[in-house]
Order: sequence, then C-alpha cells, then structure tokens
Amino acid sequence: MKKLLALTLGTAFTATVATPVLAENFLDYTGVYAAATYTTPSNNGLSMGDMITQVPAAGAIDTFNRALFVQPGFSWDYNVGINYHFPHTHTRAFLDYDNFQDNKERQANGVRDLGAFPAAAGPTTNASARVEQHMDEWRLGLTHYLHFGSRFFVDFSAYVEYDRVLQAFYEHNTGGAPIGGVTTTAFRETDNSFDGWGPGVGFRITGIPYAPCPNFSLFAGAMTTLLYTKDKFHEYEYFNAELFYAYSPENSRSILGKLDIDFGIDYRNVLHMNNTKLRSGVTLGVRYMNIFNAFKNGNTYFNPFPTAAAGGFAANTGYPNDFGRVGPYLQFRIGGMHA
Amino acid sequence: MKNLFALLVSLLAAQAATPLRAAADQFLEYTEVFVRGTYTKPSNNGLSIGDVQIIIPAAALDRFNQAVFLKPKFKWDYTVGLNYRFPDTRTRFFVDYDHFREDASRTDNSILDIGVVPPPGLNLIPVFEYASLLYATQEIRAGFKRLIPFHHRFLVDLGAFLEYDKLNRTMREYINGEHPAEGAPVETSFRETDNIVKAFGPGVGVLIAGIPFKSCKYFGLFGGVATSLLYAKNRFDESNVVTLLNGTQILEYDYNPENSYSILGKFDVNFGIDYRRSIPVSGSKVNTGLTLGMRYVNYINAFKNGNTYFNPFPSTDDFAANTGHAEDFGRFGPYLQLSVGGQKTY
Repeated sequence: MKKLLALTLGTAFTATVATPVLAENFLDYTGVYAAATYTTPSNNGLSMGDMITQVPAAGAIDTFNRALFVQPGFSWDYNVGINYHFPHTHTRAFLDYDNFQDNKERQANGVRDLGAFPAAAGPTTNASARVEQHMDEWRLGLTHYLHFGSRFFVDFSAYVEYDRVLQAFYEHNTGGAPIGGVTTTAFRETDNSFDGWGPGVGFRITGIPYAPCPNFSLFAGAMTTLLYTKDKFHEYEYFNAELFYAYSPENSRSILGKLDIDFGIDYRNVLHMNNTKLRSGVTLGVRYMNIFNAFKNGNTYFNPFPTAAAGGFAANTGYPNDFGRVGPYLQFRIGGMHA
Repeated sequence: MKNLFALLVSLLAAQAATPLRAAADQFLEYTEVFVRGTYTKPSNNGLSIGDVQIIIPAAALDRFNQAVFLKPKFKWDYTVGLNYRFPDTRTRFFVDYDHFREDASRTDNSILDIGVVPPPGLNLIPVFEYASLLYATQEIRAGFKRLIPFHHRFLVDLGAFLEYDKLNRTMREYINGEHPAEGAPVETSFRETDNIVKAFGPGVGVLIAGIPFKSCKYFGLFGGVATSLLYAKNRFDESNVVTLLNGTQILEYDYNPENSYSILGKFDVNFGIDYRRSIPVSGSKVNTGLTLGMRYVNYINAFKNGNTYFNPFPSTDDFAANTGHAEDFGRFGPYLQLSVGGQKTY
C-alpha cells in the first residue's frame, strides 16, 4: 500500500514539475508561420477558340482567325506551417500547407470556337470562357542547416509531398450562322485534375549582407519533387442544347516533375515579453513553381481514319499542359529557434 | 638443378608480384561494388488504346467512345555498380548500369481504334482489340562524387557525371471489325509504333545523409536528387496494315520520318534507409552495406512521336499547325541494394 501510495504521489509530483517544463521546452523549439501569397498561374491550355488558317474574307472580325487565351490574374491565398527544432541539433521537422484558388473569365466577340463561328457577312459570335483552379500542397520533412561562418548558411531539406490540382474550363459561344443559317449555342466543360505523392529535396542559401545589421538576410532556394499521380479527365459539350459528346476516359498514371524556386529578404528579431524571449521573423519573398506536363487532357485526341488516301500520320495520344504559379508572398513567423 | 631453377623463378616472381599484390589489395580496399534489385513501375503516358469519338453513339457499347490505357505493372530488374575511392581523399569515381524491361498487354471489346469501328446494331464482326507493349531501357552513368562531412552525423555527397540512356518503346495494336474507310469488314487492322531515344549528357546530383541515432551509428537516412540534360537522337517508326476478310492486305501507311535531335530534361529522386557495417573476414575487415530505398525518375517529353501529326488542308478547315506531341517517361518503385568493399563513407 505504501509502495503504491509512494508511486502515485511520485508520479503526480513528477507530472506537476515536468509538464510545464516539457511544454515550455516544446514551445521554445516550435515555430509557426503563416504567409499571404499573391500568385498568378500560367495559362498553358487555357486557349479559347480555334485558329483558322485561311485569310478571312473582307469584313471579318479580327479575332476570327486566331485563338484567344484566358489570362488568370493574381490571387490572394495562404500558406501555413509548423516546424520543430530538435534540441541540441541543427535539424528541424516541418509540416507545410499551401492553398491556392483562382478563377478568371474572359469575353470576346467574333471568336471561332466550339463549332460556332462568325460568318464573313452575318451575325457575329459572343464567346465567354471561365477557368477555375484549385491547388492543395502538403509537405512533411526534415531540414538540416549548416553555417559557414557567421554570415552564410545553407539549409538542406528532404520531404514527402502530396499535391492535388484541379482545373475546370468552361467555354460558351453563341451567335454566328454556321449551319443552315441557324443561330448556334455551344457549351463545353473540360475538367483536368490530378493528385499524387512523391519525394522531394531542396536547399536554401542564406546570407547576411551587412555585418552591422545581422537581423537582415537575403535568401534563395530551390526544391524539386517527383510525384506519382493519378490523372483524371472529363469533357462534354452541348450544341444547340443537345449533348454533342461526353468523354470520361479511364484514369492514367504518371510521374510528374516539379520545380520550385524562391528568393527574398528576411528580417528576424527577438521580442522580450514577460521576462521571456520570443523569436519572430518576417519574410518578403517571390516564389516560382512549375509542374511539367501536369494536365494530361485525357491522353487522347482526334485521330482521323488512317487511309492511304488521307496520307500517313502518327497516332495522336493527346497533349499535356504544364501548370505553374508565380508571385510574391509575405510570411510572419513566431516561436522556435533561429536557424 | 631443376628444383633450384624453380625455386629461383618462384622467388623472383614473388619479388615482382609483391608490388602488384599490394596494389591489388589497395585497389580492393578502396573499391566498392553493389548490386541492386529494383522493383519499379513505369508511368503510362502515351499508352492509349483507342480514339475518342465525339458524338454520342446510338446503342453505343461501353468502350465505343472511350480510350483505354495499357497499365504496366511493377517489375523486378537490376542495377549494378562500382565505385573507387581515391586514397586519402573524399572523392570517389563511380560507374553504374541500370537495366529495365517490361511488357504488358491488354484485351478489350468494342473499342474505336485504327479506323475500325464497332457498328452499333450491326455487329457483323465483334470488335476485339489486343494491344501489347514492350519497354526496354538502359542507363549508364560514370562520374565523380565528393563527400563533405559537416560533422560525424551529417554528410552531403555531391556528384557530377556523364550519362548515356537508351529508351525503347514498342506498342502493337490489333483490332478487327468494321472499317468504314475501306467499305468492308476487315479481319485485322494492325499498327506498330516504335519510339527509340538514345541520349548522352551531363548531370549533377546531391545526396544528404544523416545518422539519426547516436546510439546506432550503423543506421543512416538519406535523400537525394540528380538532374541531367541529355542530347538525344529521337527515332520513330509507325506502320498500319489492314487485312480484309478475303485476305487482301493493304498498307495504309508506313511513317518513318527523319531522326530528330532534342535536349531532354531528367529528374531522379531517391530516399531511404541504410545499414553499414564492417565484417571480419580472414583477419581483415570488409565493409558491407544494405540499403532499402525508393527511386522516382522522370524524363520530360521523352518520346517525340515523330514530331509531326496530321494537318488538314488549310483551305478547308480550321486548325493551328500541328507539329505533334511528346510524352514523358517515368518509373518509380523500391529497391534493395547490397554493397561490399570500399571504405565506409559514414
């Protein structure tokens, strides 16, 4: 009984003493950050309209013989993360989440698209297109930093990444007089998405340019990831309110390469609060990111009948498009240990 | 007298062999060989069977307006390599060879492919498709690595190398059924598509290794990336032969364009765990290692498909110039590596 009582009291006492210490220790080594990102995606694959290769007859509208592009604008989004600095080491574990959402619309007259086109003399077309994009990016890994003198540092990272990217593209074209003088209305939706896991590694170089001002630093880094992804595609078109086609192929699997480069300026300081020191920092950076051949567009395309009369041609299994983003970010950090 | 002569020769040979023996011993002491069992799976970009039909078919069969894909599986293969550490330096010369070969096939019904259409309602001949794939790739790398220990539990290995790659992809498609362009049912429409890439170029890489537990210095974690730019010769050949029911064979087309040349980007990421130990053998110590890793590799726009495609007559239709499309080639999967010899790097 005495032993049991002693054990219970001992455990309770240890817990009382140890809990705040452990918590304080944990908080001392743990940093959190949040960044506001302001990025614009590339517009590969966001073509609106066909190209006609004949010289348009007199009176044709300018856009009649060229495709237009939906041009996404900059969009505010966010990035959050947490890192834990293992005591007495130069190693940190990190978890990072980046969210991106954007939509953009464009309207134009006289566009040739979806089988509806403006006649040389007759009603023109009214076209609109809208793109919606969404990206989730998770990274979990380890960073180890090395210092070469007091003003030059290198961070090495290795991580596992999960990405999910969705793109929906809506096209609408009305007017024109292509078929027997009947005014046409055409609508097409094209959905590309992929999600996948993969490993990545990266490095970041940080330098303190002015010795009298060690709080300011400049940095630049690069990361590369290879993702094993599941690629999904769906496309359908309505022509004069009738379903013209609906295409939903099997999912395909790919390896996608991703490059990620950022650079910027950093300010870090120690705040004194209630007799304790709280580390903090603010970063102004620019991020460039590209995923090569990201959207597979169903891995297929129109193939004419291979006849001797039509001539020889290679089988067409579709065209992929890259997906990239670029833009500045502003990050605030608090807690943890300085690297 | 003969015995004396033999003794003298033996002594002389031993005298001469001693430096050679020492050199051989030193070489073996600094030389590591490894063999790796790889279990990887390629991506299936470009392995489409069938076209998309952009009308809603009447009484359509399931596959009538959908493409399907060949789906290669995981396959055992191998990598072998050798590296030599220059004495009293942290620099190693290495050469390794990776081999991969995979075949896959798929059968399906009612696919629209190579001009053969399953006619709704008619079903004169049931449409039956068989497609097969053969991948054969080889990779040889030779170069130098430099180990930089930042302290006894964290190391960085920097590498620079030259690389030769050969990628072959052959896809064969057989289909029977109605062929509207020929105006008659066909027995078989057969198409073979060959893409061959031979490439050579430089690369650089970095590998980070750490020993996470002080108490167990034999275990290491590592993660690395290598990237190469390869100057590649791209070859392409595609032919299509239709056999009618009466046995007549029609060569629809045979497309064998000139070779083209391109620069290919390649990414290679691997990570894993490592166990290294010295084993006493006959009074000396032999370093051994066991590695369990994962490798992801991707060639961007590797297969060029002849760099061309059908372009309709511009006087009648509405298309931008079409110069064809390229496809990635990627592989990923685990590997198990055994290494013997050389000096411990950490």
